Amino acid sequence: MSRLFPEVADARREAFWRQQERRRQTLGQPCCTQSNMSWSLIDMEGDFCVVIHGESDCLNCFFHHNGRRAVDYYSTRLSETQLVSGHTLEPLRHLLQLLATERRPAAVIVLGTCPVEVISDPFEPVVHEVSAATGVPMVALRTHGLTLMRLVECQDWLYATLAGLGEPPEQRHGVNLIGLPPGAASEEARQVLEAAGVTVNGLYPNQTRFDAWQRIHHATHSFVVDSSTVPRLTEALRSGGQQVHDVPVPIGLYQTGRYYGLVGDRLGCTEAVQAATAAVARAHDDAWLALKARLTGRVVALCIRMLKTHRTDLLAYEGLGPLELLRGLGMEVVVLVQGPPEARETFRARLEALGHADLRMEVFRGPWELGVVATDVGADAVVCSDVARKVVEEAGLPMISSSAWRPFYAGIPHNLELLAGLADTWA
Amino acid sequence: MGMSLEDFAMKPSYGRLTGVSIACHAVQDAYLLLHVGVGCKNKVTHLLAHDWEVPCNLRQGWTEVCDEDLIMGSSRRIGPYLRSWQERMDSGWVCVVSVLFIELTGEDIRGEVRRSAEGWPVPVDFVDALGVDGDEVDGYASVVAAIARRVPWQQRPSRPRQVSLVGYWFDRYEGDHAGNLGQIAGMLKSIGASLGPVLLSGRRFDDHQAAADSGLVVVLPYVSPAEGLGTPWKTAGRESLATDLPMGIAGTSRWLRAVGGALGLPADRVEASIRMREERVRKPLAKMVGRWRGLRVAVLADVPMAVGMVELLTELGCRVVWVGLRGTSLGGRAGFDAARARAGLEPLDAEVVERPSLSRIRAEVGSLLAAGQLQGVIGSATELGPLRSLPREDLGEAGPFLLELGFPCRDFHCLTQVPFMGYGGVVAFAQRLLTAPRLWDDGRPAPWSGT
Repeated sequence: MSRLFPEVADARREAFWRQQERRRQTLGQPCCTQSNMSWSLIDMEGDFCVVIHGESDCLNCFFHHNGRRAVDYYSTRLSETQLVSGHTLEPLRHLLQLLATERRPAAVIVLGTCPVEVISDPFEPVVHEVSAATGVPMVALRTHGLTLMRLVECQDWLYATLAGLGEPPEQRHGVNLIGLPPGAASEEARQVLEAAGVTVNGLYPNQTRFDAWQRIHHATHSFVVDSSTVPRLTEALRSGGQQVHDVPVPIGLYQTGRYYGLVGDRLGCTEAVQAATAAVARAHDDAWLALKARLTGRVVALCIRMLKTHRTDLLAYEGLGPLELLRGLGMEVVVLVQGPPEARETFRARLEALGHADLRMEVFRGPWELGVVATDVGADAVVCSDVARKVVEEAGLPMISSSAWRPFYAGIPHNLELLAGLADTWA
Repeated sequence: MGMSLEDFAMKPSYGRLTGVSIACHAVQDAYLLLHVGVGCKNKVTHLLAHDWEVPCNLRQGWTEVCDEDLIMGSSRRIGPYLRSWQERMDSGWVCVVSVLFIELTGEDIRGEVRRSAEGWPVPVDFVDALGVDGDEVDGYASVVAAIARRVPWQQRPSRPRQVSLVGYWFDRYEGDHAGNLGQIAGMLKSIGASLGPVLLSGRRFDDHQAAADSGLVVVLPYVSPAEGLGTPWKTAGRESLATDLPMGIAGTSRWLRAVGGALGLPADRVEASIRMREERVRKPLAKMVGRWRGLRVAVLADVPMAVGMVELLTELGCRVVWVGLRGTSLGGRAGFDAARARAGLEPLDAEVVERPSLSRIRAEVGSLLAAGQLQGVIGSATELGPLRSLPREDLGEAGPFLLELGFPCRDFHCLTQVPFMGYGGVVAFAQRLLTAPRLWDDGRPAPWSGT
């Protein structure tokens, strides 16, 4: 490691870096909660507006060139003078009143920012007051980037908030499937369960319209991929009377089998679920075994803590979702954690707590040195965020994007194709 | 009068910090140190979607400021991070930025940067990037100004016929800018001049010093007046010439004529070059002009680009019916009209809107599309984004054509030279019109799936 981090020894001489080491480090990417919530909502369909209470540039801390909802994002556009003098509430009140009278959406979500947090701006009462006066549901969230909240915690906060906008149902029916990847492959779960006689109330959060969140309490059970990442949502569902069950990220044969097995077991319909999956579960065996013969013994670097995303399936289990797929195909997985080298022991302890004490682990500080680190650990391929694509390619290693995997049996051909692409490069 | 909903709504332009990041990205060995909040980091990574050739995030660092630092004093973080990153990256120039919420604590960030960088082997500049006013052009211009101030303009220009550009908007290393710069270099060569260092154009920091050798500095519109740079190069006998962008056939010829004049080159040689190049462009265009002639188009762009693009499209026989001018720093409607007047063009017979919000773009452009009064829209991915949620049943099977131009592009990337400036830029844009994607090209994978 000394070759990779030559300055660490010198840096440690500085009291500053010693203090840095004492900062609590977790595996997850830290985030600005305003940025992350804005990002999460930018492509959600529905009749709602987002107000960012702060300076106008806070509208730019998420990618709005991709989202359909950017047309319904607003900023109070506070000036430095307004912030310094504390005249921040009138612009907010004015904007909310305009929204209520001219745009009149089904809901308004007001997000705080760092500048208003620094001056302790008491903006929530204004939001509640305008909401009460106009009858437009409005919710105020004290979001900002000062506390370095983990991405998953922020997502949980958002989902619990969205779930809180719904009314309690008179009758409950069906199940929620929470934390699945977006895309058509997740629809397999709906088809399988409905074939087994189970009604699916909704797939959350990634395929969901804004108004679908208002129905989330209508189910009797929720199956959550890594409920530890969404404790607030889980608590909201439990306190509403739902049974909440943990399920794995359904990527690969083993994890998909476990997923359906757990759902069938908890609902008391194991045989029906098995019957509904029997054909598709065996359909990929030959291809799987053939690929396994090509991949066995190869080393793959699985990079975590580098992905900036609002997809909970990618954040679940600290981003180790594809681990069992890779191991199931005979590959040796080395986990590469992006972060400060001085937090190495913290990262190691977290992996052990997840039951992965046996995994090889290294730390890399940022995408720029991923190629060197991956080469040093003997990786034949890398699974990482797209932001490091160039670096990894320049190191001569094939890569698969962390977000490329598809779930359930329907996703197996795609996943095998991705991995076969690696084998092709070695050939 | 109070602010309207339109005033509060999201606009297509970005803030100063994004502009600073674009300019730092345009200096090959620059390093951008962000003394900002964790969310502000995202303001500087929009380039990841835009530039597929050089990832911007490899030369950016963050001082990891959090609430504890605001209480204890955050500026003490700058020195250690500066030293550590310099050892790792061996940069040619370091740019440090801060943001409003940190400045609100009253710490002397600028002074801390100056003290931390004392005795350093490479220059370090603190650049303003507060997010309460200005736009990405202001941020970009402030970096151009910081670099221009370090050029030894007082030295006598050793190459009187070499031309340097100041204020060229270089936002990626892809083929559009390589094409533009190739066009400009070729045109200058044809009149007996040459292209020197361009601020900015993807060169290493030290390479910009050779701009002092140039006998003429051409100032392009992206040097925002708000940055107060002035014309420090106008010394030691060096000439300075402010121009619009060399876009369209006539616009390019005007530019070349003005540059030739400022260099004191023989007018007949310049005119001969112009005649030859105009003819060389018009021939291929004539072969297929019927394919695009008469198209009714909306253009969404900053003022200089809008001026150039409207003229180019008009030359191609298209009819521009709606123009959305982006940003605050380049003169708005008045600047647009003034540039057209400078070019000897009539006021544009079209709706010209200053700083439309994304919501207004969707409403007004969407309404023109639904009424069948528009066949295509040209703008950045941010400006085109709102159109993607228009109801499909109103707009026909595939919808209008969309051409990405400006920052950021999500779908348009150039492996080879695809200029939009110079004579070649006219042909390249006509080619883009011929193969323009439609609003709904179903089945295309997301080009950049990571976030």
